[in-house]
Amino acid sequence: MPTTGPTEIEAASCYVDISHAINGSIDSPAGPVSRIATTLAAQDILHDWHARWSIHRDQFRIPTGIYAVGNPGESSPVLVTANYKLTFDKLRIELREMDLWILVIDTKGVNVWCSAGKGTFCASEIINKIRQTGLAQIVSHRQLILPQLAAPGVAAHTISKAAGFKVVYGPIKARDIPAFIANGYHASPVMRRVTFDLAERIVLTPVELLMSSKLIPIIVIMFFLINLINNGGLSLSQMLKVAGFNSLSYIIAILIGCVLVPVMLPLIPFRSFAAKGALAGIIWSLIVYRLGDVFMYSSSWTIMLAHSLLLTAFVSFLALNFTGSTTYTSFSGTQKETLQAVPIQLIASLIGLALLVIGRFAWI
Amino acid sequence: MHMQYLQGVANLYFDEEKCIGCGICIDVCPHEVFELVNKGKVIIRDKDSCMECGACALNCPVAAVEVKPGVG
Repeated sequence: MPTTGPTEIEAASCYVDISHAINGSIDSPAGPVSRIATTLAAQDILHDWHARWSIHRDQFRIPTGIYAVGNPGESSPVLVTANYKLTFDKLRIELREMDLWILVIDTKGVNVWCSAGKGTFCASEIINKIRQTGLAQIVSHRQLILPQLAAPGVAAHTISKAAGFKVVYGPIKARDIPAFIANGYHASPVMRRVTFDLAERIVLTPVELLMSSKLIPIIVIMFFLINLINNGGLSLSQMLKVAGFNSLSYIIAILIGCVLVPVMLPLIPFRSFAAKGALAGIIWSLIVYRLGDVFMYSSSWTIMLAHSLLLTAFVSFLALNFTGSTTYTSFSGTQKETLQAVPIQLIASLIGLALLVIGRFAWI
Repeated sequence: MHMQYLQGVANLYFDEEKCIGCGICIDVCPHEVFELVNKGKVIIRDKDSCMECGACALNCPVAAVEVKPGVG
């Protein structure tokens, strides 16, 4: 996520081109308004993949302002959303055969919930955009539909005071908008409850995986250095090979911590993520113990205990890290388990490393 | 499947005296923490599901709800 955003004019080159999604123009008392398509083109699907795999992830902002869907008029509803390309796409595909306005505010290219949490999806920015777009001339009513997940950043009552528009919180998911509007702006309890189902967890795993895979070179170098101790005259290529195989169980541990644990999250016992990860780490350690030869580990108890401690601490740490991506963990809870688990993970890792070094001598 | 995080940690405070029963907290809460009872007041139904997003506190027009993440 970008931490500082340049101003809109400076950042014009950062905007993703959405001209392919504009399929007309609507005349309004405040001037012409671009009409957007409610179907995705091939490049939109490519954008989704790019963003999910963290490729140019910070360059998916779309131009802010007012857009039209269908043939809206002065009494058509106004939806407010973030200027993140994926958010905009997810919204517009749910609005087929509807006539309404979309007010895109500047959230620095960040999705609704995250930008609300960071405070960029906020009342003052909405008020800004109401004024900049001349929304009060475009529509005769004075209501805005905000996504429910914008609420952590928006004090709804301040918008009616400052700009005369009353905020109604719509459903969490864009796909419920047609039903929400048809029900007279009423969201059912199900529409108001955030989920974290398998598909929602899976889409998060590529970024988790990419972030943690940056540790792989460190792991390989660590094993290379440890194997230098008392190395028995192995050649450089042999040493690299051993370091590579030694690292393999840790690379698989990254897969376990960043993919398997998130995927199996509700099936793994314990509420604490560190504990979920530790359990997965212990199971993986037992498998590694059985497969010791595959990773070119010595079968001495010191080495096996060392890898068990290191792998368990590592998977526990990766799982704890995932608390930052869920839809239901609280800051206080994460803080509590971090303060408890990280010292244990650290001590286990240090003992594990010490045993690896000691094991170099015991082996001979 | 409804997943729950650690129990007894959420820093969510509610002042029933101030509550006017408008129900905005119920609308904005993504975890059904609040419930409107027939007295025309809101109660905390499920505090352990609170993820401290702060939506209720920010949107309560009478400051009856307070969320202080990371305190205590």
